[in-house]
Amino acid sequence: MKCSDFRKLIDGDVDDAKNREALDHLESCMGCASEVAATRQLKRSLTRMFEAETAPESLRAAVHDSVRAGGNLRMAPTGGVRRWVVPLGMAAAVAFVWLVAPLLFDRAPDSTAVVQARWVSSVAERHGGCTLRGAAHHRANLPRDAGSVRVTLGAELRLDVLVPDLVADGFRFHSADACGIGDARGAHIVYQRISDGRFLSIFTVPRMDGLRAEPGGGSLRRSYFRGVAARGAGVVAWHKNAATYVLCGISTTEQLIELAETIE
Amino acid sequence: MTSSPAGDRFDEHVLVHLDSVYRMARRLARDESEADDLVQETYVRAFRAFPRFEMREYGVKPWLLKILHNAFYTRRGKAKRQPSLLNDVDFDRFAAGDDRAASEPGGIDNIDWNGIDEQLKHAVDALQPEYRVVLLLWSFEDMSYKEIAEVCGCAVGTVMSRLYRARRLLADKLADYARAENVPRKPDR
Repeated sequence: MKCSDFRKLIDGDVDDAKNREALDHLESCMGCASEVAATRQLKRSLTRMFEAETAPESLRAAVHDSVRAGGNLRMAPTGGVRRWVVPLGMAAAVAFVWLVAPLLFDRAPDSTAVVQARWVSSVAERHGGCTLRGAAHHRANLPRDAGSVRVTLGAELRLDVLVPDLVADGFRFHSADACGIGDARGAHIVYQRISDGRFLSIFTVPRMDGLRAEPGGGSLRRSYFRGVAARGAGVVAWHKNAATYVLCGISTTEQLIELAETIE
Repeated sequence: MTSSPAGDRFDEHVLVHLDSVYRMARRLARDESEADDLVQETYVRAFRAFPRFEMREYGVKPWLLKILHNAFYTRRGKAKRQPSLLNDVDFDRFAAGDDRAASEPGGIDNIDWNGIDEQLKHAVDALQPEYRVVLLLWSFEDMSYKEIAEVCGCAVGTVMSRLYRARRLLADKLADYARAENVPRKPDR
């Protein structure tokens, strides 16, 4: 493979054969290896800079209201356009929103399904964000063996942190930190599949009873919460004592439940 | 949010991406008020189109960001939509090394990334919108070339070209900054 061909592949979509060719090229070409490292650093920097930016509550409420009104635009307090709309039309729209819509749409905006979907999204975002950091995800003052991580993070978080040995299942320990999910502080242990380098996250967070877990799916007949985030990341969670354990990775929820059964 | 099955699906699949849509709108619009308007317009368009939406290969997020992308350009006027064709088609020339190599002064791998967040942010904002969109979809949305092409309504080759060009433009801007501020270059490896 020539450098010109390699450059077209950087962080792109490559099949296994191309991937092997690219790896071979990387081993022999310092220039391309350096460019790959710099490109990944750029990606990490951009992600870190912008990922904390979230929609303000006023906008979130305005979007909810607009959709709730069946697609009639209702501007957020900061909104700047459509102020020219004919007042009579606005009055009619407002009358519809306040008088008719409540009769048609009776569910609260934050239904359980929405909250759970957001939660799945948070899990997947944390999984994606932390694995993107590679080895830097591992907190500097944490030991690197699973047993010690369990003790250290467990004492810090006052949780029974799940750090299983998954070598027999084809995963090796990769990194750990007290990242948690959303606002819930907890342990985030990352494993890497030995065969293809893909990542698996195991979170331990304070028990989240709001998650609607459903029975079945494994021999232990434990109740599992299942979800699939964007890009096909499976999410499976279950409660045990004071903790909720969460698995997330590019696998089906059935495969994750199978793994959860093995872990227990 | 709504009691219909379609409304439930909308809540579950579309509203969850509000932060992503907002982040992209903020980077496109550069003005908070315009960004808020863009987000709302995107969701209203999405809600109206949702009954016809089918969960195809790329899923909801690229579809939603495509609506945002189109809403942005509708506002700006289509004449300003694309970078010049010359910039789009020269990826092969870049990749072949006719352009300056990455490891030469000013190349992306000569940048010391510590403490330059603000400069990087300014450099991103200074990019033409089409380059900015591709760069941001690739970075914090972690989209594949195919997904980015779907959002932007262009060919995969064009995505590669714009991404390459965007990275090069960023490197140039940051190198200018380093020269102006007399920031020491990254130590030789």
